[in-house]
This record gives sequence, structure tokens and C-alpha cells, in this order.
Amino acid sequence: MRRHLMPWMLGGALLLAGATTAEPLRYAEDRAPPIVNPLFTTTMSEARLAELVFEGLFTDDAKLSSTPRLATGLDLAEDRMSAVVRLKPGVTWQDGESFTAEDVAFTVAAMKEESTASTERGRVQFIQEVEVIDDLTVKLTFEREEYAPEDKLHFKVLPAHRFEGTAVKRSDAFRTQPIGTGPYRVKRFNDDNSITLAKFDQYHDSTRIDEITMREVADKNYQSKLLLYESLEALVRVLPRDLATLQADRKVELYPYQTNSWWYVGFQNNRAPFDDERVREALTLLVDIDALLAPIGTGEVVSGPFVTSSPYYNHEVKRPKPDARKAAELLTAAGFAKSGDYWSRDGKPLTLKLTAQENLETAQDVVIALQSQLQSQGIKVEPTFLGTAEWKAKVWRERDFDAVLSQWSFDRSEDVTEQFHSEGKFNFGHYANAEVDALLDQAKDTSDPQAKKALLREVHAKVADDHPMIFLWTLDSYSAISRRVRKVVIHPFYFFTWSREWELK
Amino acid sequence: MSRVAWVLLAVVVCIGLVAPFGDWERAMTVIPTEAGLGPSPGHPLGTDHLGRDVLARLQLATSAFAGPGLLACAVALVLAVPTAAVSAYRGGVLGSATRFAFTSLAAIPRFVLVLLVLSIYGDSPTTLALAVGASYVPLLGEAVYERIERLRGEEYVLASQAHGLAGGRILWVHLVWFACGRLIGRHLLALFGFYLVLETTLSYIGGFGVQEPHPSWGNMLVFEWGRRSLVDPGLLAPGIALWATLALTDWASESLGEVEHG
Amino acid sequence: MLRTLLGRAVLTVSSLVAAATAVQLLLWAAPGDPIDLLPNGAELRPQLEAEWGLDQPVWMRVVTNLGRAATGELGTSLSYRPGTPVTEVLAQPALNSFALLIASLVLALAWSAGLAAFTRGRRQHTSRLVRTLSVAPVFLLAHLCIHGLNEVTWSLMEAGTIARPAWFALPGEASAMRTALAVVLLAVGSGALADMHREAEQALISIRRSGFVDAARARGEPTFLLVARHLTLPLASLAAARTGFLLGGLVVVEKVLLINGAGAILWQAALLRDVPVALGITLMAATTVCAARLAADALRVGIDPRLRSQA
Repeated sequence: MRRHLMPWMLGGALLLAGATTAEPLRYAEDRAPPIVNPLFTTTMSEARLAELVFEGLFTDDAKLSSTPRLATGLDLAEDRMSAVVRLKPGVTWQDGESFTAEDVAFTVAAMKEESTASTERGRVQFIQEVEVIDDLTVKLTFEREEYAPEDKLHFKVLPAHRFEGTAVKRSDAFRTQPIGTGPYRVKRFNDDNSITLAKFDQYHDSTRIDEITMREVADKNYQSKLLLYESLEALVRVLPRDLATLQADRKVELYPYQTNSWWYVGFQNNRAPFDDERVREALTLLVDIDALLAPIGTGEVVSGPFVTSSPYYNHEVKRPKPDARKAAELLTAAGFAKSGDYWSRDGKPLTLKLTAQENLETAQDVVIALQSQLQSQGIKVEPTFLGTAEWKAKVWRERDFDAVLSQWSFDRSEDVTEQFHSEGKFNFGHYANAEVDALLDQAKDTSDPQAKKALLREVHAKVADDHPMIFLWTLDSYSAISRRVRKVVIHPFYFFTWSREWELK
Repeated sequence: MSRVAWVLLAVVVCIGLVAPFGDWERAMTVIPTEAGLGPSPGHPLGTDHLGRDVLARLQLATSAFAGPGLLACAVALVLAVPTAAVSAYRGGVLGSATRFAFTSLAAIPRFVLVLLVLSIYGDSPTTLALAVGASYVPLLGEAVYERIERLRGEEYVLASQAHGLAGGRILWVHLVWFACGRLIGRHLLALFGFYLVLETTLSYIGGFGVQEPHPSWGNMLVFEWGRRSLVDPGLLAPGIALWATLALTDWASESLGEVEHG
Repeated sequence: MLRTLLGRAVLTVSSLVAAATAVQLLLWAAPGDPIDLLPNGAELRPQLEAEWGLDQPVWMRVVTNLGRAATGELGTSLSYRPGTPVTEVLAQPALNSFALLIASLVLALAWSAGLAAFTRGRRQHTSRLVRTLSVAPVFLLAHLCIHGLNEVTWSLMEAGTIARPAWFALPGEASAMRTALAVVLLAVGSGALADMHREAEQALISIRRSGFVDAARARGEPTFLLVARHLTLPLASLAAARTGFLLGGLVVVEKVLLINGAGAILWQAALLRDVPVALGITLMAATTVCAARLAADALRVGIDPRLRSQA
């Protein structure tokens, strides 16, 4: 009897396993979006899903310039203090109601509402007032002169009729019953945490793929395997280690994309010995950045707080080259002496307690290699990896660290004020330079693109000179998509922006 | 068989205990030019994708469980045995209360308890050892309590008491040492095995446990997975080492078996 | 009898209170809270602290939550599924986990009893083989099985030997193959099968040596049913004692095999500091353990006439 138990169980298992039906496009996320409400976007997985379900007044075209989506056009007043937006007629929400100007007014009001505490509030702060002129026309009044307001009108519009008022809670029922105007509607939240999206039949534009499924695959290593096994059709971001394998596979196509993000090792600028600029510079000179980058992928090394393709990147600032001799001079000047294996001051070896976020992909490899490099140069490195909650508490809230390895990602405005202004919200390393503060303030106030460019390039030079962090690189990113999906163009940030054109064979 | 197992287990534990004092450059230094090598005389098990020697890392990884595992055993021993022994020997309200506490605490799955402790006090080996040791107290305590409570009324105990032998001597020498020695030994061996399983499991799943660059048989398995074939010696080695060590603890515990009475 | 029952009830309640208190004290003491996880957490802190009761001292939160839990109210999730009632978050996953638990418990009992009947303390090699196989940790067995199975199946598919099986590598809804694998691994791994086999074997030997079996044998009656009936009790206690252990394995197996169960959610909840969800899961786990103990006790009273006459 016992002998027959196992085959019997497996046989039962095979019988129970249902066959799959119509072919959806399946993509993977590390963690399923906990809620679907664009007012409270906290993760990129939510932003990607929202891109399929919701739409903004404007969106990006393939050249990343603004093109109308729920709007048909915009007339900017001569004083640039207001604009009239004309809305597309015949657009319906996924519950059958018509899309009107009231929805636009509601969305802006809900985002601005204090008690809503929307994570997107910053996006609509430039709008002072919304006036509904008729069903398909709204007038926006701005806080100050705007040169290209359409670039700021990409936020997702929500259906006013689904909410009681503009004070919306994260727990509002909308989070699991999202209604948008986008090409796909949420059909089902499944028991295995996956989300099924179905084509919205009354969509005001065309879309080709019938069904899209978001699958939660917590194990990142497993994601690329699943793509190779043809159990997924799309992988949003390929780990550099998997590039070679996926490239060799004839059923998968790799799509490179540029992101506005760069990696860095940030110092706690007000904590000894990192409060001494000579120490920070010496550490910068002891790191061989190219050797750190090589094992984790390809990219471009940056010399300051912008990506190399940015208009604000100052190409005159040269990236520091490894220079052990100069580093030794700087450390000696800062009072350190090499005794035994390590550089020490007052009998204490120079120690870098390096903190990194556990789920920042490939950070592990970088930290290990960095530790290996610096140890061989006489700097002790003690790495710690923190989970997200602990990271946010320790680094963001308490700012309790020696040095962090992390990356910053920006939208196209590439506004680094919060990172480098002495009063910036994300200036965790307490970097302070009055000149940089002034330049950043001026850049924020100016609407003239040329002036802004000049100011921010100066910011680049000054920041690079102060060494508040070791600027590392901007990484080349790749998506991997099955060749059965045709006409693929991916958006570098939201991924699905142009998915209406995609076809699934 | 069990003698061989004891010797081998002792060797593994000794490596683990002395490992922190050794020089592990081969296990820790990143050498990009030697990444992902197969087995060779210089690297009997090859290198990982950062060019570190797999065999050296395998040896160093024993330090992740040897010392802390023993610490966990010590914690459980010190917390559980005296409490259980005294309260079982005395009986009465104290006995019932202790028993009650053990049973209540045993309702929380040990793994869950340890997971929660780690999410707060960090995942250093000492924390893990203390948590695992403490979480094992109800189990060991209950076993010792049950045994001593049963033996308390045995004739030889009553006779010793009648002969005026000191209560402490009866309890610690006769009841704890002679009557429960093997039982406690088996439990401690099981606890050591449990620590090894837990440490490697947490390091494998990630989020808790031993983190790179420090090796554990658990994180070595996951760090290299997907980069080489499933049957690659460099990938299989940590799994085999883990399995073998656990088998050794099991075989060793055979020598602590007893003939059950009653 | 009444006293025993009363004692059991008190024990169950105290176990649950101990579990609930321990979980909360542990999680509230952890660095970082769900507010830190929000991008605009700093700005929202005062508002959310008041809303979630985080501005109250820890003992107060513990007592409040205990009081609410006593009425069956587990609150709403803070960060795992913000705003969703914990009961709703956990209903389906808990059911999945419970099914896994029961199935693996039954399987382990059946296997260990069958094996015990086969070895009867004599076949040392078989016993040792079982134990050597069983000591492997669940995560290791799961890792080897799932990836080995995938690789082998894929190479057979590539070679055209077989068509794509329905269960292969995450095809759609929860796969029965993965569930079956989870059940088997839970029943075998981390020493589960070895321990249960050993205890079942001991129980079996002592029953077979007992007077009433000898008597039956002397009368020429078949002893199988008699032994089986007397084996029920030790097996039930064994099952009750193993429940807590299997619950721990459940967390691991769900994580490695990507099964959406309460164990996997507990892991997430601990990382995301979602105290209500973690509390709900721990309470359910503790309740399961207590229920298993109670069931074993009830069975003992039901079967053993001596216990009934005591009452």
C-alpha cells in the first residue's frame, strides 16, 4: 500500500493541474502592487500597472516629448499664467460613465487635498486653480509662469463619480476596484497574488493584446528562468548576470533603455572622519570604479549628480581616476598614518561602515568588490545590508550611517534640489554648501531652459569638487521580451506607455 | 558508526570554532579574472562568480553555525534544565506553573518566534543563537520535567530519601545526570541540528540570516544558483556539506539512545 | 473530566495570549515601521500615527489589540495590503496553508505508520536510510526538487520527447504539482519523517509486546486490528506534537515553492512591519497548535475507557 502512495499522489496532482486557456501576455514583478490607486503610488510595480489602467491628459511620445492623450490640445495664455485644456470627446470610464472636465478638476483637488496625503501631491503643486468651463474644457491657473505645462500634465486622471469627496483614503475601496480610461481594466485579483487585466472594449483608441497578467515572482533569479521556460513573455528589468544567457536564447529579444538614475556611495558629511573633505576625496581616489562596474553590467561612469546624456551634465568635470599616491597624501594630511595593514588615526583604523539596501539588485556584488578593493588599500570596510523598513528608518528618517551604497532615480525634470540643498528632504548625508544652495534656488525659480542649464552645470562642478559622495555610474538597463511579442517599444520609466502597439503572436 | 559520526562532527565543529581566527583571503578576496572557474588543483571545487575559492568558503561557512549552535545549546541547557528539574522534583504549585508556562509557550511555532525576533534585533549570529536557544526551552523543559516527574516516585528515589541522602544530590546526580543525561544529550544534538537548518534556511531565503560577503552554506547555494548548471560541484557542494553534517548529527545521536521503560 | 477540560481551556487561552503578546512586543520593538515605507512617510507621520494608534505607548497598543483580537476583530492591514481587513487578507492563504498542513500531517502519519510496520525495530538499514533522507532541510529538498524537475522537464521538452506539461513552471493559477511537492517535502524534510517513524515504531513495539496482544495471539485471533486500534492514540499525540513543527516548515516551503499561503505572507508582514497581519497569522498558528492538542486529548478520552471512568 505504502509503495503505491507516492505515484497515486502525483497522479492526482497531474489530473488536478488545469490546462491554460487564451494566451495572455505575462510579465513578472517582485511583489504584486498592494493597491491600485494612482493617488498613492509607492512602488514602480504600481506605476507600471497604473500605466495600463489609467491615462493622463498628456503622455510621452516615442521621442519622450508630450503628446495629448485624454486632451486634444492646450492653449497657453500669453502671460503663461494659465492654460485652457480641451478634452477628447467620446472617452468612457471602464464602468461606462463618460469622462468629463469634472474628473480633471476632481483629480487635481484630490491630489492637493492635505488629508488625502497623496504621494503625487508634488506633481500638481504648480496648479493654483482648476475651472471647469464645460464638459470638455478646463482652465488651469498656475502658481507662476509655465513654459510647457503639458510636460507636467501627465498625472493619471481619476473618475470623480467613484469617490465621495476629494479627501481620499489609501484604504478606499477603489484600491481593489480601480476604474480608469486606459486600454486595460482590472479583471481579477487572483489568489496567487497575480492580477489579470483584460482589454477594455470601449477604449477610445486601439490596443492589440487581449489580456495581460501581472505575476508575482519574488525570486529574481527565477524570473529570467521563467522567461527562458516560456512561462513569462516579459521581464521588466534583466539582471546583468542574466544578460548573456538571455541574449543567447533565440526566443527572447533584449531591449536596451536609458534611465535617469545613477549610483553612488554617499558619506555622512557631518560625522568624523567623513566630515573631512580630504578623507572623502582620498576614498574616492582609492576606488577603481570601472572594476566595480565590470562584474555587474555595462554603463557610463558619472562625475556628478546627472546622467551623462542629461543637458545638465557638465562634461568639463572629469571623473576622478584611481590615484593611490594622491590618496595617501590626502590621508596623511588629514592626520592618518599607515600602521600595519590599515590607515589609522589616534590608534583607530579608518573604517567605512557601508550600508546598502538588501533588495537593490546587484548591490551585493558591488559592496563585496568595494570591500575587497578598499581593504587591499588599507581601509577597513564593514558592510551591512538592510531590509526596506529598516533602511528607510535608519537612513531616511534617522540618517544614522557612515556611508551608503544606493542609487537615485529621477523623472525627466532631473531635479536634484532635495538631494543636494542643505535643507533638502533627501539630503541624508547632511551635505551643505551655501553656493550650491543659491544655485539650486535660482535654477528652481528660472523658467528659461538655457539659464537653468548653465546653473545646474555649475551645481555639477561644485558638488563634484566637494566629494559628498563617490559618484559611480548610470547603468545600461535591458528589458527582455519574448519574440512572440512584436512591435515592442518600451518606455524607460513606465514600461507600458506604448504597449497599445504591441502584438502577441 | 556513531563513533565515526561523533569524530567527524567534532572535526566540523572544530573547523567552525577556529575559522574566525584564520586568514581567509582566498575565501573573501574578489578576483574578477578568476570568476566562475571549474574544479582544478588550485581550486578543488572551483571559484564562485566573484573569483572566490569555493572550498575555502565552504570551510569558512562552518563558523556561521558551529559557535552559535553551541551557544544555542548552552542557552537552552541553562534555561530549561534547572527550571524543569527543580519544579518537577518539588512538584506542587511551582511544578504546575512551570509546566503550564512551557506548554503555553510551545504553542508558538519555533520558526515563527525566531523569525520575529530576528526582524527586530537584527540577524547577528549571537541573536539567532539566543533566539533559537530560548525558543527550544519549552521543548527541552517539558521533556526533562516529564521524566523527573515520572521518576520522582520510583522506589530507588524514595529509598535514597529514606536513607537521608541530600535532596540536591538525588536530584542533580541521580535524576538529572544519570536518568536524564542521554535524553538531554539527544535534545541538545537535535537543537544543534535545528540551528544549522535554521541558519542555512534563513541565509538561503534571504532577508534574515548570514549575509554576503560572509559565507553560509545557505547563501552560497543561492548566490551561485542560476549561474551554473544544477549539477556543478561548486553549486552542489554546500548542499551536500549541509546534508552530510545533518546526517552526522543524526547518526551521532544513535549512541545516546536508551531502552524505553514502561 | 470537567477539571481536565477546564485546565485545557485555560491552557489554550493562555497560549493564545502569550503568542499574541510576544508577537506584538517583538514587532513593535523592531526598527522602522509601516510609515517609513511610504514615500511621503515623513510628511504623513503625525496623521498616520494617530490613525493607526502608533502614538500610544507599546503596552497600550498590545492591550488594545489583545482586546480586539478577543472579540475576533483583527484590524486592517497597514502595509501588506493597506486598508484591507486582516481576515480578508488571510482567508484564502490561510485555507491554502491549512490544507497543506493537514495533507502533510496525514501523509507523514501514514508513511511513518506504514514504515514502522515494515521495520518493527529490526530493519536497521531501512530505518537509517529513511533518517538520512529525512534529515535534509525542507529548503534544500525544495530547491533541488523544483529546479531539478524544471531543468529535466525543460530539456525533455526541448528535445521534443514530451509536450509541455500543464504544471510546468508556473503556468497559471496555483499549480497542483507544486502543492503536491510541498505536501511531500513537508512530510519528509527537516527530520519530520524520521522523528515520526521513530516514535511510531516505538509505540508499535510496545503495543505488540503488551499482554493483551499476546493473549489475542494465544487465542489465535488476528492481531492487526487490535494493534491498529491501539496505535491510534500514540499517533494522534504524535500528530498534535508535530503540528507546530510543520507550521514552521510551511513558511519555508511556501517561500521556496512560491505558494501563496499564510507562511509566505508572515515573512512579508515581518519585513513590512505589518503588525496586524503578523499578529493574525501567529494567532491562527497558535490556535491550530492548541486545536491539535485538544483534538488529541478528546480522542484519548474517547478511546481510553480508563480516562472516562476517572471523570
